[in-house]
Parts: sequence; C-alpha cells; structure tokens
Amino acid sequence: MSGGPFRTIGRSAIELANHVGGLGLVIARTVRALPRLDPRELVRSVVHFGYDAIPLVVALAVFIGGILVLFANVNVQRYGAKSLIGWAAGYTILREFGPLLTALVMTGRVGARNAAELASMNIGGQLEGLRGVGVDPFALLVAPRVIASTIAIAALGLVVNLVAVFSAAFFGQLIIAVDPGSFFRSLEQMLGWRDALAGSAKMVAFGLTISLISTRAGLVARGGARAVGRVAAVAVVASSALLTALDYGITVALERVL
Amino acid sequence: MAVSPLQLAILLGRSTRRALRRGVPRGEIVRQVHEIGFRSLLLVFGGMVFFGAVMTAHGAYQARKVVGDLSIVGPAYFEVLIRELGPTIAGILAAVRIGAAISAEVAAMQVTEQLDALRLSAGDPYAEVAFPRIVGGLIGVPALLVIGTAAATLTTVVVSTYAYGADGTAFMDPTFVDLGDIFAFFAKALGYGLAIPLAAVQSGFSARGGPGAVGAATTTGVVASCMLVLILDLLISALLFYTGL
Repeated sequence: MSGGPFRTIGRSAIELANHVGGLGLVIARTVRALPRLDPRELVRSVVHFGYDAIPLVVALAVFIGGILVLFANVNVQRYGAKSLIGWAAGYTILREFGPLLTALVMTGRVGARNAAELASMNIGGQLEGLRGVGVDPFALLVAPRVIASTIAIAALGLVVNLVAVFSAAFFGQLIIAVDPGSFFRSLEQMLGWRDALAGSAKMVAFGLTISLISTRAGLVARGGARAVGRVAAVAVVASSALLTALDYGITVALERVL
Repeated sequence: MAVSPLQLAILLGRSTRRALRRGVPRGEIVRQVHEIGFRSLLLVFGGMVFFGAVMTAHGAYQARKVVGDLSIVGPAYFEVLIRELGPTIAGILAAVRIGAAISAEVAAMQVTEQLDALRLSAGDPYAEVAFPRIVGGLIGVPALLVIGTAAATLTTVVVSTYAYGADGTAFMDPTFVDLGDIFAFFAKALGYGLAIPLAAVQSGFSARGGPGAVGAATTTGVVASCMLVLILDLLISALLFYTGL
C-alpha cells in the first residue's frame, strides 16, 4: 500500500472519529427526542427486548450459578472453607460474572436484533418514509428503542443476579453438598447492598453501551440482505469489545466508591 | 429457538459423512481457520487482557478484606483460570464473534438463494459450507482459547505487580496445575470449537425470508453459541468433578 504506516494511522483516526461522532449524534438526537418520545413504542420495545427474553436469561442464570459454584469450589476444597462458598459464589455472581455474561449474551439477543431491525427498516426505506411524511424517526422509533433496550438489559441483569444466586445454592447442594442454610448465611453475612448496587451499575452501563452501538450500526446500514447480517455481526463484536474494556474501568472505579 | 441439540447432531453427522464421501475441501478449511481463528484474535485477545485486569482488581479487593496479601491467592487463581475462567470467558468472546459472523454469512447465502444455486450446480451445502466451518472451529477455537488464557495470565502478572505492588509471578505459579486441569481446558476448548460453528451454521441454514430473516438468524446464532458454551462448561465441569479429575 502506498503511504505506508501514516496512511493506516490516518485512516484509523478518521474511522475512529467517524464512530465517535456517530455515537455522539445518536446520543444527542435521542436526548433531543426524549420529550416527544412515543410511549407506545417504548412499552412495545421493552416487551420485545426485555420481557420476551426472560426465559432465556433465566436459563442463562441457572447455568451461571452452577458454573460459579464449581469455580468457587476449586478454592474452597483446597482451603477447606466450605462455609465461605456462599460468599465466594455470591460475590463473583453479583459483582462480575452476572453482569458480564448477561451483557455478552445480550449483545446477541438485544444488540444484534436491534441493529438488524433498524437496518432492515433503513434499507427498506421505512425510515426515509417516516421523514417524508414529516415524522421524526428518532422520536417515533429510535429513541424509544435506545431507552427500552437499556432498561431491558439492566432489568434482565437483576433477574440474572437473583436467579443465579438461587441456582448457585441449588447446585452447591446438588454437586458439592453444601447446605443451602449455610450458603445463604455466608452470603448474608459477607455481602451487602453495595455489592448488589455495584452489579446494577455495571448492568446499566453495559445496557447503554449495547443499545447505543447497535442503534448506530443499524442506522448507517446500506445494501441488501448481506448488509443486514454484516451490521448485526459488527454490532455484536463492537459492543462486546467495548464491554470488556468498560468492565475493567467500572470495576476499578466501583471498588474505590462501593 | 431454531437450534436444538438433535438438529446439531444431525448437522454434524450429515456434514461429516457428505464431506468424507465427496472429498474434504482442504482449501476452504484453511480459509475458514483463518476466518474463524485469526479474525477473532483481536476480540478474544483484547477481551482477555481486560478480563485479566478485572480479575486482579477483584482479587486485590477481596485480598484487602480477607487475607491481606494478593500473591497468596496467586497459584490457586492460576488453576481456576486454566480450568474454568480462561476457556469459558475466551469461549464466550469467541462465540460472540464467530457465532455472529458465520450465522450472518450463511443466512445471507440462504435468503439470497446461493445455497440453492450451489445445489443446482451439483454442489452440497453440507459438505462445502457447513463442514469447513465446523473443522475451522475445531482448530481455530482451541488456538484462540490458549492465546486468550495466556493473555489473561500475563495481564494478571503485570497488573498485580505494577498496580498493586504484589509479587505477580505467583499468578503464573503452576504448583496447583495438574493434568486434570489441562484435560479440562482442552475438553472444553474442543467442545466449544465444535458447538459454536454447528449452532451458527444451523441458524444460518434455517433462515427463511428477506433481509429481516438474516438479522433474526444472526441473533439466534450468537445467543445459541453463547448458551452452548455455558451449558458445555457446566456439563464438563460437573462431569470432571464427579470423576475426581
């Protein structure tokens, strides 16, 4: 390639500016559309992204609980501290793996879906059509989706954390014979509202990330069926990359304050 | 959901049988290893670097509360990283990237009738589209998991040394790592490597309709791949726990 590294650096810088600017536009137009938000679409989207995903996240939470009990058990067996397993599993579920794993699955269930649906509407000319009849697609369609998917992901995160703790107690009894009473005792003694709040704060940040990135990806889609798939895949990969980076930043910040 | 274990088993059997009968498409397999393995490397590597740093932050926080010195938990943490966390978090990241890419690509082929065109020209989507992706996953995913776990380990060493002032080398001290842990790692890696492309190809093949169907298939592909990773993780871990490995 001519120009060598400078060309590559310049290209990446322009691309980065493009992405950041695009996200900024989505945020700004969503905020501006807030007073004119279509409440029916908001409710419909919350049901679509959140309520309909409840069976999935309950299944997800059951597996997370089982996995984390086995994970906690590796150390618990080594140090003979069976009474601590409720705390060890609960801490990792609430603060780290509940939010992180939920968010990564939600990049597919909510992110890919949102990006693909917006991309289909965009490619099918429906967004243009709305503008043509004088309706702001942001107030009617886009902003409600951003808000709804953020709410949905945060709420689903709460469901996951709750169900995963019970699932951990169940698998703890089933696999490594830890009495649920002592499981919840150590959970209750060593964990508090701070841990639950830290997990919820993460979920809100993850939800916002997924919904903004997928919305922007869907809105810039051009092309046919292939483009819809590509946009959905890009939304998934970009948001999961950002999630892991964000996870570190939030974890460090939260452990200072919470 | 459009993906069931029975369908995946049928897909695996049919693809393998037809590919063996028709001759294994070597060139396409190499291309898929590149596509699945190499092109997922950035996400898995970057994600695992941050994950290693996150786990160090959690460890330091807990160490302050309980034991006092971060490096005491090092060797045990290294075992858990190899046995549980490394393969599974890297596996989910790989599932997200590979599941999305394969299901979007195959679904687009399906709805634009390219798969029908392949059949008409005496080709076979099972042998020529599904099989190379399955083998590509079997080779690419374990490689990604090894690199991802190594990245998380090195990040933990560096972060615990420089950010928390502990003896970081404790986090790569293999005292507690035995053959059972290595076996668990590779059992999971191969399981994920098989399951991810199977779920993604299956959801791509089941796409029906217009551009919207491609989006729906991508969603299903990502979600099913991620869920399969978690299900396999729990199954393999529980099995190994019962057999005492």
